[in-house]
Amino acid sequence: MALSLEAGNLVWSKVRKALSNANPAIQGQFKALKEYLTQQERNPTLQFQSFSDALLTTATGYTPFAAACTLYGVYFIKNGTSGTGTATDSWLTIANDTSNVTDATKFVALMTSVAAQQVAAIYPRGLIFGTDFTLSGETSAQDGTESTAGDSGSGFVVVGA
Amino acid sequence: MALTLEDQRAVWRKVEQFFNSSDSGTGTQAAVEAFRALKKYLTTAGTSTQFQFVPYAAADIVTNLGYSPLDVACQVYGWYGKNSGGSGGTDSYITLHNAANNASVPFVTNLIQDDNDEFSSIFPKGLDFGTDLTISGATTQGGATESAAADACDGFVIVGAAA
Repeated sequence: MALSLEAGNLVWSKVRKALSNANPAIQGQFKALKEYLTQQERNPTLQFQSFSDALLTTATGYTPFAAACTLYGVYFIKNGTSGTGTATDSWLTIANDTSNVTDATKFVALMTSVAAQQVAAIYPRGLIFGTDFTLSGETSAQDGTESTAGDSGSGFVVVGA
Repeated sequence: MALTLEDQRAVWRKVEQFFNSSDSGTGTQAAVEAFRALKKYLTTAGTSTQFQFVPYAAADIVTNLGYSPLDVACQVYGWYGKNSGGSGGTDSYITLHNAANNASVPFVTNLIQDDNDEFSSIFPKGLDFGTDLTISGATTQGGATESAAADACDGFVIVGAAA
């Protein structure tokens, strides 16, 4: 596989749809990222890549591109209904590697501890994943042990070349 | 020490001032607007009204065992970091630990790779740090070997009362 880059406006349309029920602060965060990249970084071609809890919690993680890439934004929502459901800690990790087994390659780790908790991070100048890009839902930021799908969640990343 | 919460209007003023400060480097408009979106949410739909602005410098977070400015449990709502332009291109893993030092498993990690790299993480409903909050810049993910200050970042955390 490889990246499947497309025009930024198509990617941002997908982002908008994916965040239609997201927290307004996170909608605003990605709107700000869009405006920055389109207006000040010459509107690069990008790829929208969604992921599910089942993909995140497969053994050794989910490696959608099998290619190097640059991360601009990540959104994650933990499973459950706010106020109910699971509250078992689960981390979304993103490794610069073909799997989730090496802690040292985990460039990003975002923790969730409450049902339906949402988190997002943006990297306006891009975070370079020079080897590969593996997403994983784990029981710790460091152990390489996958969470149950119910404890994990879903979301998307926006990447570029 | 403990939290020193204040009306969030004062906190958001400090956020604006941080982004306008030449000492802190110039944040991208993406970061500035991201925190305005967080402000808008917390002021109009959030359940907490008081927060604390916790700035940090690269020199703080690369001290031995990390930087623990609060010594108390809290919730994190927003986190910003930016390299000041002096990075030698050596990775620095910037981490928030739920502990009194950086020897524990990371709760949240972002990476600074090079000059002027920047990140913004937002937790609109708060991320509970039930023990303490330690900010650390280390040479490996969750590692206890601190980075050189030039490779790390300045930034701030917005915290509120513990859950």
